[in-house]
This record gives sequence, C-alpha cells and structure tokens, in this order.
Amino acid sequence: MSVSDSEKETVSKFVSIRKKFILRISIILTLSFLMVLSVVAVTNYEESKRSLSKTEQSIRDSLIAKGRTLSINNSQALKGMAEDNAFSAVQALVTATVSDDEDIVYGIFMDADRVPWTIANEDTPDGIVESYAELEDEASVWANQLSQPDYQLYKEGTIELYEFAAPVVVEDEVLGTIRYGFSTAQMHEALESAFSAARQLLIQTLTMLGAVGVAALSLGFFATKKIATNITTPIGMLMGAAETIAKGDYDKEIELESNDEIGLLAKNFDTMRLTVQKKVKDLGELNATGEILAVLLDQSKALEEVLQRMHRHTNVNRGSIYLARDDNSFELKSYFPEFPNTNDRGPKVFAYGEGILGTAAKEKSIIFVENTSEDSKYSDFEGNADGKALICIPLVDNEIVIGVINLSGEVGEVSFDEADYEFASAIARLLVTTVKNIRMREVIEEQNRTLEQKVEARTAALQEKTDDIVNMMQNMHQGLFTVQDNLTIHHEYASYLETIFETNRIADRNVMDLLFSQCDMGSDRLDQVETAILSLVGEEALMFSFNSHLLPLEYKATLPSGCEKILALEWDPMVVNDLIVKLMVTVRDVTELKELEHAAEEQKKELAIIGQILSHGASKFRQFVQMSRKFIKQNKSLILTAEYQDDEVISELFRNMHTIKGNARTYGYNYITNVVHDAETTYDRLRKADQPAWGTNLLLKELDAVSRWVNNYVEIAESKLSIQIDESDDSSSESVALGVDLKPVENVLGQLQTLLKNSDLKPELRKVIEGSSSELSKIGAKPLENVLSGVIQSIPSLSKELGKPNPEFCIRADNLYMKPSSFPLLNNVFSHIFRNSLDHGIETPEERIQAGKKAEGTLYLEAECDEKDLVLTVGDDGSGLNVERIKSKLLDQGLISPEQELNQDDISRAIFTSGLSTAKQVTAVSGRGVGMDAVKKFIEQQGGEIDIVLKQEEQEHGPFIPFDLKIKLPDAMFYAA
Amino acid sequence: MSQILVVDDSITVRNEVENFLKSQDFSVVTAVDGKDGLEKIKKDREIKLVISDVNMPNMDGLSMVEHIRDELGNKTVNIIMLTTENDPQMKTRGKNAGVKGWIVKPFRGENVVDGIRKLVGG
Repeated sequence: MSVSDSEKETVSKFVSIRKKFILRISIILTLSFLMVLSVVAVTNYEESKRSLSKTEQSIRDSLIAKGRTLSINNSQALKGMAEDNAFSAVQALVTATVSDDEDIVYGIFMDADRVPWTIANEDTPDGIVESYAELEDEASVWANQLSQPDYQLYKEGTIELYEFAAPVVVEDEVLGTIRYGFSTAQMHEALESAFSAARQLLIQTLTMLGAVGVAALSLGFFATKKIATNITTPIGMLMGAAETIAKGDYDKEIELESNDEIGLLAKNFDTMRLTVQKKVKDLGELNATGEILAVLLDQSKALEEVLQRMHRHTNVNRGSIYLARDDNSFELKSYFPEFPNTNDRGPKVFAYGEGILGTAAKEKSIIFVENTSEDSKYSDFEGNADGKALICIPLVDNEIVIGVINLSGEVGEVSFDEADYEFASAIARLLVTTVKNIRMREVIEEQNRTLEQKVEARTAALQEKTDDIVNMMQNMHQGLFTVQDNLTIHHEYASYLETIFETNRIADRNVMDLLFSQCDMGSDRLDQVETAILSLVGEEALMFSFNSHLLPLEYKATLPSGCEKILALEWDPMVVNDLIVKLMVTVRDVTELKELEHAAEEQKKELAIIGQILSHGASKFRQFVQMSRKFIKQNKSLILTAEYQDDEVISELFRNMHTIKGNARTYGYNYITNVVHDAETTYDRLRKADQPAWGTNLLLKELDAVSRWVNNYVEIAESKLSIQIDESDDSSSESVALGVDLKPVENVLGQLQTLLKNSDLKPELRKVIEGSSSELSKIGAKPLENVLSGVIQSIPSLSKELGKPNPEFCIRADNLYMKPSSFPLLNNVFSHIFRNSLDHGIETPEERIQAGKKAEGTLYLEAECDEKDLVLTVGDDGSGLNVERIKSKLLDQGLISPEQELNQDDISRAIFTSGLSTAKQVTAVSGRGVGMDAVKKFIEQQGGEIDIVLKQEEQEHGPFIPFDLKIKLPDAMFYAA
Repeated sequence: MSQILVVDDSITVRNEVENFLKSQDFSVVTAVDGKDGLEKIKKDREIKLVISDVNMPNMDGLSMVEHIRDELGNKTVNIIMLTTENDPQMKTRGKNAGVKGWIVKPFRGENVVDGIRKLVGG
C-alpha cells in the first residue's frame, strides 16, 4: 500500500485501515481476556470466602460447645466445693482448667454476692484473689443473674471473647457462678492460615490464566494483521490506480482479480477509467476540431472537416451535410467520401420534416438507427434495402435548424453510444458556430469591399474637385486666399496673388503684412482692420454683419517694385456650424479700371461743369467768377494780414465765403459749392468756438481749394466754351448783355462823378453833367425781373434739393429799370433771401396742408418807386418768424432778460445779427445764421437800407409771426420809366 | 417687451447707441459702468441683449459679464462687447464668460441692426 505523504496530509490525521483494524481487534481481545480473568478471580474469591466462613462457623460452634460443656461440668464439680467453702479446691480446679486449655483466657468463680473466690488469668495463674470485693462489671452482673448456663460474646477491638457462665446450684440455691472466658484468637489463627492457602491457590490460577491469555492475544494479533493486510492491499492498488488517473494517465489497466467486493469494485473502477478515457479523448478531438474549424475561412472545408472527424469517430463510411435554404428546405453541401456522381447519394434536397433527415431537423434531436432494415420507419429511406447504420445530427442555432449532418455505415461496424451523442452534439454546435462565423465574415468582407469601393469613388471625386480647385487657384485672374485665426494666410491660395503682390512669400504670412505693409491707410485705420478681422475669425457668423463694414474694400498699395496699385478687396466669411472658421479674401487689381473710371469721372465732371456754366449763361458765370475772385482775394488778405483773429474778421471771412456758396448754389455750380462749404464750415467753427484755433495754413489751403475749383470752371469755360473771363475786378462790367463794351461808359461816368464832387461847379454845368451821367448810367439798365433772372431760375432746383414743391413766384416791378451798378448787389441779396424763404419760410407740403394752405408756397417781390426812392418788399406765405426761438436764442446769448417782451426792433436786431439762425438743421443751402447780416451789410455798403416788417403785432398763430423784408435802394441804382 | 441694455461710460457712445436703437423701435436701458449695468440687469429680467464697453470705471465690462453669468446665474442673456482693441487674452476671457461677439468701434447702427434684431428675437 502506498499512500503518498501529501495525500496523508490532505486527509487530516490519516490512519490506515490496517492499523485501525489491528488496533481494534487487539483492544477487543485484551478486554475479553481481562473479563475472563476477573470472572475467574471473583468466583474463586467468593468460593474461598464462603468456605472460610463455614470453617469459622464450625470452629465457633465447637468452641461454644466446648465452653458450655466445660462450664456445666465445672458447675457440677464445684457444687460440693462451694458447699464446703473449699476455697483452695475451687481455686485449684479453676486454675488447672485455665492453664490446661490455651483457648481459656480467664476463669472466675464468684459467689452469689459476686464476690470472687478465684480469678485465674495470664497475670494471676495461681488464681489467688487479692481483694474479695464484689465484681461490678457488666459481664459479672450478667453472669450473676443467670439461673441456667449461658454464654455471651464480647468484643474489645479486634479481640473477640466468649464468656461461658454456669450457676452452681445446690438444692435450688445458687451458691455461686463459674465463668470462663474463651478467646477466638486460636480460631482466627486457624482461619488465617486457611485464607492464606486459598489466596495462594488463586494466584496460581490467575498466573496460569494470564499466561494462556498472552499466548492467545499474540496469536490473535498476527491473525488479524494477516487478514487486515489481505483486505487493504487491493484497496491500496485501487488507490494507486486512482492516483495515476488523477495525474491524467488513463491508459494503465487495473489488474486485480478477486472474487469478493474488492474485485467487483476494481472492475467497476476500470470501467470508469475507460469511460473517462473515452471522454477525454472525445474532448481532445472536439478541441482539435474546434481549433481547425476556427481558422477555416471556407464553409465547404469546414463541412468536410466535420465529416472526416465523424467518420473517424463513429466509424461511418459515408457522410453528407445539408444546409438550410430560405424556402425551409435543406440542400446538400458536402459529402464524404468523394463520389464522382452526386446523384448516387441520397437526396440533394429535402424538406423540413421529410424523411429521416427532415425528422431529425424537425425534432431537433440526434437520431441513431442501428439497422435501417430492422426499422420499418427508415427502411425505405435512401432506397437502400440492405440494412445499415444511420446517424442524423441536426445543426441547431438558437432553436433554428440551419442544417443536418447525415452519416451512415455498415451494421455492427458503427458504434454510437451515450457518450457519442454528446460528442455529436458538441461537433454540431461547433459546426453551427463555425458556419455562422464564416457567414458573418463573408458579410463583413462584402461590406468592407463595398466600403472600399465607396471610399475609392469618393476619393476620386474629391481628387477631381481638389484638382479643379487647384487649377482654378492657379489660373484665375484674381487673388484669392483665406485668412485663418491668428491672421495667417492659408497655404492654398490663388497663384495670381503672387502677380498682384509681386512676391511668392504668401503662404502662412500675416494678412496685414501682405495687404497693407505699404498702403494709403493710416496706422489707426489699419489697427481697426486688424481688430475687425480678429473679431470675425473664430466668432459666430452673426459677427460678420457687425464688423465687416470695417474691412476695406479698396485701397492703394505700393508694391516692392515701387509701382502703385489700386486693389479692390472682397471679404466673405467661411462658416461652419455657425462659426466663421476663415475669411475668404478676393483681391482684384483695379488700377487700370480706376484710371479709366477716373478719366471717365473727369470727363463727366467736365461735362457737368459745362452744363452748369451754360445753364445760366456766360454773363452770369462771368459775374460769379469776378465776385468769387473778389471775395477770395479779400479773404486771403484777411487771413494773411489780420493781426487779431477777432469775431469781426472771422464774421467777414464767413460772410464772404457764404456769399460765394450762395451764388454757386444759385447757379448750380455744384463742385464749387462743395468745396466752399468746407471752407465755410471751418469759418463757422472758428466763429462759434470760444478760443478759435486759428490755423493759417489750413485756412489758406481751403481757400486755395476754392480758388482752384473756380479756376477749373474758368479753364473749362475758356477752353471748351470760349468764354473769356475779364481778369479785372470791376464787377459792373456787363459787356455781353449789351453787346457793347461798357467800360468806356463807366470810365466817363466815373469822370463825371468826380466832376460833380467839385462844389465850385456852375449850376448849369452841374445840371448838364448830372443829366448826362444820369442818362449814361441808364446804359445797360434792365428791368428788375431780368436782372434777377438767374436767381429766379434757380428757384425750382433749389426747391427740389430741399424736398419741397416748386413755389409760385410773383414779381411786380412796373416801370422800373435797374442800373448795372446794382446787379451784383441784387443778385447777391436775393439769392440769400430766396434761399432763406425756401428753406425756413415755406413749410413742408404736409405742414402746409395741415395749416390749411396749398402745398406749394408763394414767393413775392413788389417794387414801389418814385424818382428818388425805391422800396422792394419781399416775402413768402410761410410760417413766419419763430419769435419764441429767437427769444430763447437771444436769452442764450445774454442779449435780453427773460422778462423782456420782444418788440420789432429787438427782432430786427436779432435777425440781422451775425450767428443767428432759427433753422433746426444746418443745410447746405442755408441755416448758418449768416446770410441776413451779410445781406444787411451789402445793402448798407451800397447806400441802401433793409428792415423787417412784422405783419401782425399780436401773436395769433403761436410763436410764428409773418413778416416782410423792406429794402430801400439809392436812386443811383435805378430809374423809373 | 424685450429690452437692450447699453453699458458705456462715454455719454456720446451711450447716446449714439441708445438713439439709434430707439429709432429702430427697440426698448433701451442704459448704464454708465459695469456696476450700474449689473444693477440694471438684476432689476430688469426682460433684458435680452447687453451691448457693453470693455474699459469702464468701477467695474469693467468683462467683470460685469462674469458677474452676470456666475453671480446672477443668467446664462441666457446675449452679450456683445464694444471694443477697439484686439488683445487675445481679453478675447479669451470674454469667450469663457460667454460673450457672443465683439463689435469693433465705431458703432455703426445700420450695420448691426439686423444682427441685433436676431439676438433680441424679433
């Protein structure tokens, strides 16, 4: 028996069966032996004890008989001696009796009064009594009252003492009592020796029994050991075999022949070994099959492999596998072995539930038929009359049959037991998994192929697009690039950009650097552009509408070659997910285009100027030019020479410029109007500022611009229209109108005037001279309407500019001729006045209709004259003067106190004071509050007067008061017909 | 009615923006600095859009935005900053605080009105 140490350790406190067996048998034998021994000993002991007690009783009985006899005999013998009072005889008898018998310890004779006559014992062998006193002890008292002989047992410690007493009766009188004490010592001695002999015998018996027992035990031990070994040796063998199997070795057969239970056990054990061996082999086969199937990519190969495997396993010689089709039938997919003609082999296709294969599929369970000829259900299948073994294994995946394996072989050859069912099921499961995997892989591969094709197609399309874009980028005649965040230019850009910017250093360059390193924009503007770009890229698309207006659309760039180009930019956001990821910038070189445009613009301008000059005729133009030049000259000298830039100087500068503007506006010389307006604006600012910042250079520059534009007009007039402008300052020259040169006439007139200044002149002569000069002065005189024709003609265009309908204009100036000397004054004055009326006097059509007036306003000019005076009344049917506003203006300027009521003088003063305008808005037409003071100044310089006449003292219509202007002109300026 | 809050310490800018927005029929509330702006938005939950300057006394615009988002927990109001600078740190800070975008000064009403209408929602 070999039990490995490790196993002994696993079983806690291992004790072998043999040891246990021997130990138990030994214990039982020993215990039996001891029991026999004790029974023998106890029996023996009891026996000797009983015989001893019998012996003791018989000794005691003989002792008692001896004592009674002695005491009775002595009592008879003593009768006489007692009657005779023979002390000595009594003494001698008792003494002799005591000494004769070893058993007698003492002898006493006492009289009836318990007085001892003699006491014989070991101490007093002669029986002499020393004192004849009555005996008082218990035994003496007992013996004294006896009438018959009797005995009594006394015990003193271990000593037993029988006292025999007998009364000595003589004639019915008790003379005394004889007493003998008998000791049991002799008896005990005898008993002791008897007991000793019995014990000796017991010991002998026991010793003999012990020897016999030991011999029996030894014998028993060896016998037991032999039996134990006989039992445990086969068990040890089985254990060894189990150990071998546990180690995985199933090949070692268990060789144990025995006709008992052990033999049976060994046989069963070997059967078990064989079953396990088969299972392990099957498992190994399954694993191997699984491994092979796992790597197979081809379904038919997998099917073939399974058939081969089943052939080897079950010893079938033919096999086929059918797989399910969509129409619930099964189709032959693989067979074994190869047959040239597949028609020879069973059905190629069968339906669900049809035949044995269909049944296997339907029932989803393996069918094994040992002999088809013996089973009527299957005999006709495959048309094979000869019997054969048949195995049908359904291939089931999640309760769905995907196929059936069909195997057949010779009857008796094919083995298919319980374990093979399991093997076949496992193989079927493996095959199902494999087939599924292969199909899935095919699907995936198919998908991958489709995907690859798609990717290829997309890639090709993308490539085509990319190529197109690259081509476009290379060949387009525009610069195109994108700006990324951090302002860099994306490396994909249109090649033409290199041509435009004369560099190939564009990719990844800072956009500001590329576009604007040399340009006509200031650093502040560029900073703004940069900020705007940064506030767009990476921000929400909405930001483009917020900030794109800051991106320049056209600018002038100076390129490395020194060439200047005008570049047009277009900015577009590239939006992804509502975020501006890039800015797309298109650059076009528009230099040539601009030059052409510029030339066209110049031509257009020239044509416009020609049109403007022609619209009012050469003479008006000439007048305008002369007037303008006069004022320009005046302003120039004012700017250069004025020591103090006081209000007066500034006002004069402003008035002059305002007059030029007014006239230019009147005649529609628009280019001049614009430039004059700028100069006027500067003056206006100076006029209104507390501390005027006088910039001589700026003022001269602006004046120069005005002058240049006037000269442009003159140049065009001279070159294109052959209108000659007289360079002289004399504003009264009017050669074209009369067709004659008025200059000589004017010279004569001048001389005549000088003459008239001489007070020494004779009255007749003076009268002649006055008459002559009066007549001469009439040369070139015209009706007022004609003089003002230019101004009157400008009314419609002016109205249009102000967004008002053309007003009705009424003029009544009968029999009145204005002399040439008055022309400039009249033109200047009325261009101002009419403009004021149109702008501020006449309301908008809506206001007018609301006030119950017709939409168009009315301007009127009436002249009343006699020989000496001319009064021109001018006015409109507008809202009138806003007195409240005038008042508040005056209050603001501290010219009146709040309580003060305005009278006509105050209003008049206010109207004709520099810097007052009641217009809500400064327009290009009027409204700067100068105008009326200029008008007044002109008129007064020429010896005339102007005043305002309020038409209503009462304020009936709110703050507005209608008014007229009355202008008186000196008689030198007109004559009445 | 949804409101627009205009925050700028410059009365000129404030008036210009306010006048323009009012001319476009928006309802406008103004504030003179970040602190004032924060008070106004606390009181008026109808404010749908804040147009704010960056550099202001007492509390700058970005701090105000951070307070609106964190302290008031108002994550929905759209905020647009008016700026002249292009400091990337400022932009990042603004983005983190949930600034919708930047209008580069000068404010030109006609260019931004459509966008503002979208942001205010009407």
